[in-house]
Amino acid sequence: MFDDERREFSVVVNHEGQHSIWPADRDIPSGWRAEGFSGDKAACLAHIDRVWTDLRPLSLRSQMQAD
Amino acid sequence: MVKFEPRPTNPFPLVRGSTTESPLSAGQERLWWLHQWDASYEYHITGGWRFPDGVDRTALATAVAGLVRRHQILRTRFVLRPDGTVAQEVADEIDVPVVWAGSDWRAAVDRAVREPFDLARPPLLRVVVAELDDGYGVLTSLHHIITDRWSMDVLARDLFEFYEAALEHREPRLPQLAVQYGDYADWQRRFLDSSLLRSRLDHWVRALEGSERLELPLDRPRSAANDAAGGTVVVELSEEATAAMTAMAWRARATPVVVVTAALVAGLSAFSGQTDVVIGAIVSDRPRPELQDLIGFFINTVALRVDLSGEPLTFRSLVTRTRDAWMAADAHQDVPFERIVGALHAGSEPQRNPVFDIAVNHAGDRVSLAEAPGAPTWWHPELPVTARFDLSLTTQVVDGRLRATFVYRSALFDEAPIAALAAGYIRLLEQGVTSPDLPLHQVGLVEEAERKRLHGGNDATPAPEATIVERVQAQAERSPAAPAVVGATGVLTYQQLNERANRLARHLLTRGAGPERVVAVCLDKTVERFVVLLAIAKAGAAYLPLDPDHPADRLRFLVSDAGAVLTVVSPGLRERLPAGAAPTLVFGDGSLDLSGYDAGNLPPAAFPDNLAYLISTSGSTGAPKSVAVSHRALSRLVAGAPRHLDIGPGATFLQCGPLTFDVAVLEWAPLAHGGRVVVTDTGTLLDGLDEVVRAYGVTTLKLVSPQLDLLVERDIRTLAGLRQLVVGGDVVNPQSFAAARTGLPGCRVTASYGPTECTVLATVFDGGEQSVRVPIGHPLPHTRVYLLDRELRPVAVGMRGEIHLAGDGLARGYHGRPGLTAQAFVPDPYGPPGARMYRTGDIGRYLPSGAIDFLGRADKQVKIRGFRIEMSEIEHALLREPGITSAVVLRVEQATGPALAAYVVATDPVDVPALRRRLGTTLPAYMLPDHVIEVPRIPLTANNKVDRAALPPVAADEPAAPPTTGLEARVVEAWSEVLGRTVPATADFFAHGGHSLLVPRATAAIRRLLGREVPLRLMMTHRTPAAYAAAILAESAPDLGAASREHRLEQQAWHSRTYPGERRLDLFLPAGEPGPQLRTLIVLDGSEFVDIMRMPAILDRLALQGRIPATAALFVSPAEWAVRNRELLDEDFVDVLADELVPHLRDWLGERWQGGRTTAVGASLGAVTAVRAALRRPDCFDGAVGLSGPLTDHRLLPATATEPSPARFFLSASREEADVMLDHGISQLDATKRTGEDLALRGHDVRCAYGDGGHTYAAWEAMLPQAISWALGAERRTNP
Repeated sequence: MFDDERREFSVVVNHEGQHSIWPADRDIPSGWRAEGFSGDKAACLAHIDRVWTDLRPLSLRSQMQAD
Repeated sequence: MVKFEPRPTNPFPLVRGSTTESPLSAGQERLWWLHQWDASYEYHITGGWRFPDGVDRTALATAVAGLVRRHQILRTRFVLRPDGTVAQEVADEIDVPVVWAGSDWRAAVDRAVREPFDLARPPLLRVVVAELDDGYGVLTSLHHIITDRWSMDVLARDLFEFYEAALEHREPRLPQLAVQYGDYADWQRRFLDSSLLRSRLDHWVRALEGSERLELPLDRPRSAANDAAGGTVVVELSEEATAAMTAMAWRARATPVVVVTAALVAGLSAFSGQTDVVIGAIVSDRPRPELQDLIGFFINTVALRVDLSGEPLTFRSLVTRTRDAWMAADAHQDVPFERIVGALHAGSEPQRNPVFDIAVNHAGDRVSLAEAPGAPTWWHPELPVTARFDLSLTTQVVDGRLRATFVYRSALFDEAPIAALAAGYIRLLEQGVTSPDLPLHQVGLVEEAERKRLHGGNDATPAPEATIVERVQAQAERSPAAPAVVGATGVLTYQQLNERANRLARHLLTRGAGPERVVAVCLDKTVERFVVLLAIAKAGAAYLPLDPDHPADRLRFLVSDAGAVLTVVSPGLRERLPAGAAPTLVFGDGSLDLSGYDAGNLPPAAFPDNLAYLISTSGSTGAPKSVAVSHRALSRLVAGAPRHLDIGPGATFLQCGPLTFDVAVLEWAPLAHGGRVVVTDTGTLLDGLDEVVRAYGVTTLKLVSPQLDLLVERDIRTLAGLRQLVVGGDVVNPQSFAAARTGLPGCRVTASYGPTECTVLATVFDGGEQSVRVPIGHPLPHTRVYLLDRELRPVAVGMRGEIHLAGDGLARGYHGRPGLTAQAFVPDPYGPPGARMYRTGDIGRYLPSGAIDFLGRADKQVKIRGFRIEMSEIEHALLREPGITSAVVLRVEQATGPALAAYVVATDPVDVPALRRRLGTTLPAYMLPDHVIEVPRIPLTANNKVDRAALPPVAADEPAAPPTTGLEARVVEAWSEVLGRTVPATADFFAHGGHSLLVPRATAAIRRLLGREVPLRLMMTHRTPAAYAAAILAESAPDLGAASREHRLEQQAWHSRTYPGERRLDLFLPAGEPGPQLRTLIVLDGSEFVDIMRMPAILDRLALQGRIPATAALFVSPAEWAVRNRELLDEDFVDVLADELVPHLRDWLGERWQGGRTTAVGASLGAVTAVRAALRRPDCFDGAVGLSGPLTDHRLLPATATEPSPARFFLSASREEADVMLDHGISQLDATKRTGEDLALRGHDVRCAYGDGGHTYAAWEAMLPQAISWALGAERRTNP
């Protein structure tokens, strides 16, 4: 499924700010939400490369900020 | 809706013929062939009936006789004609005995069912009567070639009517049979031989071209031995769903068979992971009403190809696709399956059905037996299940419920995976017919309870948060004096380790280390390395190991890519680091004074989600990427480790990989639990590992599978004393694994699996159920493993699925590579909300117990020549070979297309042809490596992946070899003619368009050529002309007769001065002491005269009979078959014979040489040379024997023809060669006659003879006695 280069994917994000992709025609698994961008796989991954600049989980980011 | 051509009508009249002989129907032909190959009981059809009130002996005998009289097919025998065609002949009368087996009937029934039939000796029908507890049972057993399922109903009806009639002393009331089976076969044959089906064949080629084999994961490798033993799994659809199925079928303008097929296609697609599904369908075909009441084989086998790719497919649309495939197949079913196989070049596997291995067969809802009161009912004694396909599905509606019977080959499958497939099939069918518009991917193939069971080993609990720092500190507090790390440079206790790490950590903080900062390390294998690693962790930073042997550019890239703030390096490795990549700190030579730092523990610097380390792996894009692993993930590994690894207090752990290899991360586990780690350089070849194990008292050893192979090869018993051996790497050699288990009694041998992205270990296998492979077992604590199909659905037992990993062990991702991370770590639909899972790209399946069986890499699945090939399967097969310790199979690109290259490490030199032969017993032909290359060791990358670049390249394909002997050339000729295309001498007949039905024809040509019996199956085992010719020669060897037995045949290699190449000479010497009249012959194409025509034996016999004087013969073979023609036709060649070969013969004979002249002998072009020799070099030759020579095509006399001295000529041709046209429209026969007359006119002594057999070895062999005795005859003239 994820290896289908022509398939339409959505960029999805979870509570930790982690980004991934999910087939646009499938229900998004719970705990994930659509980020708003969709397109073929390459476009989605390029978008993620641009927007997900800090791979640290959100909870860690806030822990470190509080520290 | 797609428009279809309708099925063409056979335009020929179907009429009662007058002859008793007819050709076979297309289906019979295939069965006949299968029987030649393997006469097992696989194709026996049985029918049994109960006679509750007893059986009347006389009436039954009368009934059986009447039945046999009524149906010619029951009196038919099947014979192979000399031209390679097969015919069926009807006998006037045939006696079918009825066996009265009494109450002890089991053996008689078994014999009737299992004993092979001889198709040439009817009856092919057996009748057994058994005395049951409640009445009688009558069982009939027939060969499939004369019956089918439908026919068994006809047979029952007719038999009972004959029986009733006999009891009632009346005429049976049965419909007249307008035609007999032979008439049908004739009728069908005329249609097939017409050109009417040509476009239909094109259809099949188009429809099936490029299709893939459906490959279900096998429980046992396919073997060359045909084993038809089968198992059965029966499942049923509810009455409600069955009704829905019928309704749906009609709505879709299809029949129920289409719907049941669609569900099977969906199930197979899910189980195999393939979207291009080809299965077979068995179609009962009686296209004319006249055929309805016949017994006989009226079955067509058609291929159904259904494409499941594209947009989310619903069951409804799948039914439409399946219906279209059915309709197309139905319209084209008249093309015999074998012709399709030939056109597709698909018949290259002798023990596998061509094109498909799985078939569907819908028996409908016909309740067959006459329902008249008092009629016998079915009797089904327990009989062996035979599987004619790998897997077949027969469906039938019984009492309103669809019953699906799966029959599988027990030699290939266990019951559990087939049961899971059957269960999945019923779910698909049920959901499909009730919710046809639901996308198929939403249909779960596994019952929730079963899914729960299979996922039962998954542990969704979070890993403890305590970091490795806290754990080691706790150990230091608990047992400060316990040794933590031991090695060549000394011992560190927990206290020492902790305190030194504390001091160094404080220093590292001053050099910029801290949470989310990376410190690169390039360290020796000394105990100091743990001080460094622990210190980095205590500073809250992540370490990135560098391999000092890597090129400087790569190291520089890694350091800058990771943004390392510092590199800690061992003193000896300093020079290896690239300049200026990052500030360096040399640690380990005592030059760094840390005494000023506090030795007490630091406050915790890292949160559980901060990074603990990075490990770089090669990326598919070429640039390495680093896997970033958090403390939480590391905690998951160490927290759960004691459950599977012996690493607590008292244990001593050793792993033999470099720090850059993630197995080294496992060293944290003993440190976290109070065990001891040995750090020492064992070298890549593990030399002296046994001493290390003894010296340090290693209890727990972790190896990767190539290392285990190496140790087993050397002798695993030297590692005695180990308590646990853990072998990682996905393909563990089962031989090595077993060798370790037996060689190390008392030692737990464990297999483990896990990618770096899931922190070293994901699953372990500790024993228990094992397949032909070593399974990877069950998940570690706090770890979830899912096997998912391509729609991300959990798979059932036996089904192929990609391994997905989830839980706290997952890495954060690829350092600084968000896109790559997002692609590999995707939402986990089966875990807690928001969870991720890692797609490993590895393929596995569940064993019935729920343990996971590793099948291979997804990307190791390649498609070559249309076949989907799992490299690991070939690797597994290679590893089962004794002597092979490691193996890697790669796809290589060559000028002729993709090929398979196997790189092997072996204890002894590999005999490649023998190896290929043995592999051929378990692997299909298309999986046999095209190249086998021995390497001293499989080169691995830093991360223990195969280093493709370091493997030697494969030699280019050799050009198609020309034939090397005359026999080979003749086989090439014969096969090429049968195939209608040129077959190279080294090419596989079956890969060049050959199929089994062409074998009799190709064999018949060779039989004729040789004039002797050649078994049909020789072609199945020797599939290239070269191998075939060699096999024939090997079989003829014992026939060489006394000459070779008494060593009167000497062989030499000889070089001509004039012509290149080494040629074989055979010298035959007559028995006994040579008399003064020793005559000599020089025979051209010598090897054929010796090996095939057995001329030495003929000479022996002639001498014994006194028909020739004592004669020596020198047989000269061409150096290369490819130049043979040119050489024989070269007018100067006779001078080579006269000036070089005759003197050579003289020297060889020595004292036996009696002077005088010699006689030349040749056949075909050799005859031209022989005659020329006698005409042009009368100084050396006084006669010639020329068999079937194209004499008029070539100039025989010298250019300046002086009248030669008279010589003696024997010329012959076969009467059949009247059809062989030479130049100028002269036949071979006339050419011989004319040349004879011409030579006689010139005053030579000539005899012409005309025999039979054509231009063949057999004809020449038959002519030789006469020819030789004439040429050497007593009436010969005395030398002038």
